[in-house]
Amino acid sequence: MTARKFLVQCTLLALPIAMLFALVAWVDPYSLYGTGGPIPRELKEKNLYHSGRTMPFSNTMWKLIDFRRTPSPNILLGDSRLSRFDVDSLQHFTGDSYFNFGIPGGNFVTIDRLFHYADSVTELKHVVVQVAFRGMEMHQNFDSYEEPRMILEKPWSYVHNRRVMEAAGLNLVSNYFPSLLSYDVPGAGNWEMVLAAEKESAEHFVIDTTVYGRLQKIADRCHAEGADLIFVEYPTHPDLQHIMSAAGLGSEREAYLERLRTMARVIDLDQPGLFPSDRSFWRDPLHLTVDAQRMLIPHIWGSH
Amino acid sequence: MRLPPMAQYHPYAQLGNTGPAMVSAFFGRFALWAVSSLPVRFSGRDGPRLAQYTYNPDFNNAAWITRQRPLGTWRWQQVVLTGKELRSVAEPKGEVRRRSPLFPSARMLFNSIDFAVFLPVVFILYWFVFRSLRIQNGLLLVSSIVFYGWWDWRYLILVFFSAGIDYVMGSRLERTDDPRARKGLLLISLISNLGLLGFFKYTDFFITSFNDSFTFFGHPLGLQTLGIILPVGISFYTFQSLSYTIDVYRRHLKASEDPVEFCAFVLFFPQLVAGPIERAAKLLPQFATPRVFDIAVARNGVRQILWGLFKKIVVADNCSQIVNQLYADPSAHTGSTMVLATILFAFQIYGDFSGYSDIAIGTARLFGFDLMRNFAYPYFSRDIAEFWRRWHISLSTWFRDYVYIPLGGNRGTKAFVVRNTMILFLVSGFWHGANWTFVAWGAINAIFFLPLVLLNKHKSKTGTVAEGRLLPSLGEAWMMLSTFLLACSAWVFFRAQSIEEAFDIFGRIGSASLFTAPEITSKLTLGISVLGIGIMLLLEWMNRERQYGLEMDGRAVQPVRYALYYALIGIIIVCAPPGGGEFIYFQF
Repeated sequence: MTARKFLVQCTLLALPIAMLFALVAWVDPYSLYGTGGPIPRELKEKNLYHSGRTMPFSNTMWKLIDFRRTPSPNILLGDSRLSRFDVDSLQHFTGDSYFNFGIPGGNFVTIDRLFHYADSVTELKHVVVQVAFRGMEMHQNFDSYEEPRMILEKPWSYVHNRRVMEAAGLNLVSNYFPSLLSYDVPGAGNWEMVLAAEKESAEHFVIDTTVYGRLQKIADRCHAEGADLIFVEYPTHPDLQHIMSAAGLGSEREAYLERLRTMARVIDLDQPGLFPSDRSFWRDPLHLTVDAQRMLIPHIWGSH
Repeated sequence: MRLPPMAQYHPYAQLGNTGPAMVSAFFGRFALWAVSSLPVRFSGRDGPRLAQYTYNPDFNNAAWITRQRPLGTWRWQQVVLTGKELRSVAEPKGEVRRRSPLFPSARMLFNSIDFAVFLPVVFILYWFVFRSLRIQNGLLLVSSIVFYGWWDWRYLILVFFSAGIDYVMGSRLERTDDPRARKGLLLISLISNLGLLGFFKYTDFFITSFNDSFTFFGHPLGLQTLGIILPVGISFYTFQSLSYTIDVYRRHLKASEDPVEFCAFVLFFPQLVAGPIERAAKLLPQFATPRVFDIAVARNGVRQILWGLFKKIVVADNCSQIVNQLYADPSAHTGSTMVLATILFAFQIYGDFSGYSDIAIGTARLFGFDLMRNFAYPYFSRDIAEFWRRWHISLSTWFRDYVYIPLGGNRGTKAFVVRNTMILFLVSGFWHGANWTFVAWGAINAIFFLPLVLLNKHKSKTGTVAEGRLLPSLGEAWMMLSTFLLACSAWVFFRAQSIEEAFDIFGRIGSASLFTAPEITSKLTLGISVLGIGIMLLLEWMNRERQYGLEMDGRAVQPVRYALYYALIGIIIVCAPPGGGEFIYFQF
């Protein structure tokens, strides 16, 4: 009898936790289990961009799962500037469907690891890598890929991962109590803030040369597999271009592009006067609006 | 499945002699089959290393290298290679084999979901379905086989080999009174167990050391290491099994007559892979006695499991995130940063190993077994002798009873005592791993310990610190702090990859960079680690006269107890770093 009583007590103790895990599995914020649940897909996708803090994990998690479910031989790799790229317009232009691996907070480490992930899932044909000279900075080498990878490796850990739990809560609130929720919106001083941060980074710029090794491996792999590889240096606003040149980084940037050209075709869209400086095309000095990004399509894929 | 030969695209592409191939040369096809999916040896760009493959069905039939370690070191590093990348390097010579998909690499760690399912199932079967003693012992044996085999069933052969030898030797020792025959039987047991341990744990180390020595004198031998992986728990179960034959030899214990009972004792899953190393005289009789369910003991067990999980997940796993990053390249960090890394490592290894022990002891309690205490708040020690009475108690007492005292202990001349103490600590260090860093760690502890023994002050601090008071006196606080710092200085050798690296770290700590602010990139992880350490030290200090930090008597009312449980569970969930970590002592 006492053993039975003990078992009941343990069950009662564990019940709230088990229910919490079951709730997370039911909400399934990144559609890992793909069993439906109460949250519409559109809302889950919207919530990937809830805040700057959660975006890197959420986007990586979502895109890893989504790609595994619907692999594509054509991929885009890059950072936040690419993350909302309109792949439907691209498909309309090229006739090929592309999977967008643009990750907010992404960097060359993320690009490297996502490329190898995609390569492990399917045979690649077209690989477009959105590169950034500013991303060559030494301190940009953090890794936002590892945690999602670990979760996918151990699907059980999904239900008790703190970030997944947070995302589940966010999805529930956004679905049932939307008025309680606010999404990160760039404030009035955002433009200047981005410029100040970029200026600080440019003044202490130290190139991380290990990036070349990563990119070379991608290039070698694409070459071996017969996949087409393009590096695209994404445009930045002239305000930012001035900062980089004022910091005396022009020659280093040229050397960087030259090195990339030894690996694959490079399209440099970050040139003065190539894109309008009108701020209505830009979310901030780094990010073009989604509409404005459509202008890039003929520049990159025009020769297809 | 054959994989395309495209080796040039991988940093570890130049495939050297593999472990399976070398073992095959020694032991033939059976051994090759047995180790075909064990780690293999690569001669890569960064030197020779072992890599272990696991099959991952989630990733489109992709094979992964999940771990690697440079040869001559004991630490595995996590690496991730995608399937096609791995396939591009894997079998150009047909020597590398992938782990069979039928046997995915998954250790049933105490902090895994697998164990959270396994434990209740065994518990229910044990108390509700199988009530006779023999069948309960049988169930524990089968459960232990499943538990160990979950990692790799082939290594069960070694466990049963060790247990089988000792069972037979024990029975024969019981039946004979001839001193020479008895010595011979004991010798067989010693050679078998220590030979097993020596082969799997130290062969590559000795080959590498021979190579290094001859190379130093200008005669490189070029001997190939075998690339043998250390079976989980071998250092623990061989010692436990050995204690049985020694005790039977000494007539301290009657030989077991029931092979199931004996095997259940050797393989008892709560303490099979990382202790506590139980004495046969204490644990074996518990298998022979009917167990009665005691709800108070079981509740105590669950509390101890919860406390162990807290120490492992919140303290150890978070500290390890920072420690691994900083110790990966000590030459890139300042003295103050390495001091912080070493202090965090001190808490990491304590949280990790004492957390494991707490879970093991708590789990055993659920089945009516009483395992020995393994840690008694070692960081509250006032001198290094007290530290060693409180740290890894089961191993320290094992060495004391089976090595130190037979050598003569602290009787005899001072030179004799120095010799015995040095032997004790060096052997203890070497037990931890096949690397000179562990030997150095043992030697340093011996140097700290010797003055106390020679001055006969090694048993001067035996009671609980600040007994009956809330806070320690200034003198006691100073003694605890200085003991902690001494232990930390030894931990540098334990954690460093090589002796040279340890000296480099001390060089940094002794430089002016000691007086700069530590450089920590992940402040959140540091904050969580400090929070976890704070909670752990607070609860353990409050409970320092009890067995573990969360032990309670009837004083706490139920709502308070439950609030504390849920608070700890909440902290565990929120503060758990991604992936979770293996237990450090699995490597020993």
